[in-house]
Amino acid sequence: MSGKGCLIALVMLVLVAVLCSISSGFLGALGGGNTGLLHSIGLDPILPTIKLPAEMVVPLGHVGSFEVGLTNTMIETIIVDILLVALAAAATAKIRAGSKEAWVPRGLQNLFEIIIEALYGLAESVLGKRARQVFWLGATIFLFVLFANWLELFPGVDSVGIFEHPREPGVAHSRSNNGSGPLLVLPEIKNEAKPEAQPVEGGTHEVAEQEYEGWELIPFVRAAATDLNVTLALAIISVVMTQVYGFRAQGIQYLGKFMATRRLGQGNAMGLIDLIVGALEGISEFAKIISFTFRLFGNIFAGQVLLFVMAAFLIPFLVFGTLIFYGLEVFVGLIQAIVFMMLTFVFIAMATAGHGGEEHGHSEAH
Amino acid sequence: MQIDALTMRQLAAGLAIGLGAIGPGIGIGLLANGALQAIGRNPEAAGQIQVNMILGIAFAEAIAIYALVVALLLKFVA
Repeated sequence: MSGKGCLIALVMLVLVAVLCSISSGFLGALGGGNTGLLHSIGLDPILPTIKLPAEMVVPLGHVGSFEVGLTNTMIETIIVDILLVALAAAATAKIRAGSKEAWVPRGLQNLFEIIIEALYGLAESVLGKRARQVFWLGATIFLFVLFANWLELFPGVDSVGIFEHPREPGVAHSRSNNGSGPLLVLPEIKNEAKPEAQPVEGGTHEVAEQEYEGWELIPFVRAAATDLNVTLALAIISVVMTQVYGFRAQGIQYLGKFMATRRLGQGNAMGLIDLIVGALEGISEFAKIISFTFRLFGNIFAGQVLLFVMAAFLIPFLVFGTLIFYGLEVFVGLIQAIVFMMLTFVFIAMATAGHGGEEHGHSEAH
Repeated sequence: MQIDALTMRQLAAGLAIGLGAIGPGIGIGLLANGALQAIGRNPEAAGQIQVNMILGIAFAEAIAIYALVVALLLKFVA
């Protein structure tokens, strides 16, 4: 890279850093300190609501008692999908066109070839020759989780949205007394409308649902992995595909892992232990789903809350304070994507190799 | 401050994740300790060791995640 290009990149980096810092602090901050930088210039960061379920952004109606519509995590999922499809199309354009230029990869194609090669190396180290067969699954999970996690860190995600009355009591609300205007609340008006735990009768809105005092922000886009539905879906896909590959590799013998009756059939009393171990294997498949689900969810949800809180408590003192935690979240997002992919590979490797066959060979050797 | 159900629930949520993080914290420390010693003795194997270390940490971390689930259940659901 030339010196000029390097300088431009550096300036861009600093701009992005400042932007991230400002947006996370100004738009997505918690009602923390009444002292410090922002307070002294008459602005006070406020709290984004920390909620477990994804918020409905585009309600489409009801099916039974379920509210149907687009939630903010679904919107992020769609954005990630579009992004991945577009990048894949752009990266492989020259290959699909049959152009000779594709033989010497450049730019985006080169970048993706590096990524795919690195992932394939990891897959091969776990799965050996079978990597070719199951690589698509892990790599897709990796790219999806990575993009979904990193999208959370873009300014505007989690901090731009609809301002409305909260639907439930007891959660932390912003302290603005009107639904319009910026999310920065001037100190003079911030104490007028305190959030109250008691429901307010009727209300000014004709919504059937009960509404409460105060205001909260429903972000348009929220990190996909902070929704249990997303991580549970990925976990189920991963574990079900593990069973599928287990059956493909071992046939009906794969069931022997869960119902180990071979030694019991031989009249060996130790076979009873095999039965219990088989039952435990079955339970561990469900435990895999749970830990897959909550590992990704917990890390990303906790990261999100960490960014909210740190933005609130550090911003009044130090504008660049949150940047450290941005770095941490970039790292966590990458590690979680790698872990999800690697565990999928490891479980598939365990299911396809099958210790039944080894044990058989072992006993024959006796 | 009066001690009511809400207070106790918040205390329980804090204790659940706080105590639940001790074990995995020690475990992850031991894992990193072992992996770094292994890398120090055999730097060529660093790549393989790192991958296995991250996998081990993921399993240790799962215990903390269970504690987190309990804490979240106490905070938001119960």
